[in-house]
Amino acid sequence: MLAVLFSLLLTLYLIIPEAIFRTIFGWYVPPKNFVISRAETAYRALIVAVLPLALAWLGAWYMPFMDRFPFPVNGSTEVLRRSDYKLVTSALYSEAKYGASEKDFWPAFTRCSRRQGRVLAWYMLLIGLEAWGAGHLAANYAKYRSNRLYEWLADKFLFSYISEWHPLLTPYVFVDKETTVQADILCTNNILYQGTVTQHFISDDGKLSGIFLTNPRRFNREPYVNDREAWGKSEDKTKEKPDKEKYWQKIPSKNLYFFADKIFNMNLNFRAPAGQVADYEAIKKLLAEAIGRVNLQGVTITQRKSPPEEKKAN
Amino acid sequence: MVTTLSSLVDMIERGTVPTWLRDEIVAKREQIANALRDGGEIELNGPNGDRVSIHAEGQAVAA
Repeated sequence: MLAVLFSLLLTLYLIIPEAIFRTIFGWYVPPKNFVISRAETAYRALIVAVLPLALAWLGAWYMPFMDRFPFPVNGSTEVLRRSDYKLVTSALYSEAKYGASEKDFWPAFTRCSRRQGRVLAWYMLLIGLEAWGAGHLAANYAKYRSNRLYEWLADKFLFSYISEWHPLLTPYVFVDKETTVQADILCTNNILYQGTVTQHFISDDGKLSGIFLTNPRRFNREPYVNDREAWGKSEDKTKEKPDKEKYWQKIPSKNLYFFADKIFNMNLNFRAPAGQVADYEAIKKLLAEAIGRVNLQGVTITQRKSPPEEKKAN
Repeated sequence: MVTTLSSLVDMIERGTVPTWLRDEIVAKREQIANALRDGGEIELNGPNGDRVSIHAEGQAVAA
């Protein structure tokens, strides 16, 4: 009977709160899906649970209002609480002890249940608040990452809950959300495609299951290789080298979906918004690396990028 | 876990800076440092008319 009670408490205090945390966190940032072992579940649940559980327990024992709402126990004292738990535990452990204290068992069990219910209610609320805070912090990674404490927290805690595809396939890490992700996708049929990533899908086990590209193009490799070879063999030295850009062919589709199992490899490029050469934070970081000890507060960076040449693709 | 979010982001950020800009910053690091120290401005020019201006308002380089 004690084993059943232990399983129930484990579920109520670790498994369910972790699931609640993951759900609320997922409202802000796509959470990582993975098949985890029991040890990992317990480890992750413990990290999530420590602070809210400690606060809920302390509050339920010592804080006015929290110590009697919800599920108040009339006339509860520390001595009564201890004797209730002692009685319930021993009765659940041994049939003989249950028989000897049957009359006192059920009132004590009711009081224990009400106390646990109160702790759990506050605990779940605090878990929800923790998940909301963590989700908010995770969603604003680009904004807060210059803070060292935040970066440490993100590395040690938040990242283990974020799908690794999210920073790779979205402008998540950039302050300017106009940044786009351009993908060159080589499929298993040996055709190279290019386009801007707009959506991606993750399977239950956390693997990429598919990806949508807008304004897709395909590369006509065979004509390019032939022209390149002909150019290499040509004796006419004034002949221009074939321009790769001319071999990109627009696909008459606004969005093209790729099944992940048909993708051989993928090259990702993060394009700064129109008019910018590069991401401001990336330039600042490069400056700091190149110059050394530098305080970039008060430094203004202005950029001008020429509009791209008209595509010469067919 | 084989990486951290910060190292992944560093990798992504490095990839966003064009080679010409990276080379210019490295080649002109002394000039940039001086310009930032003196509260001046430095302009880095890339191909096709791309341009990045770095302007410091006051002392930026730590002593």
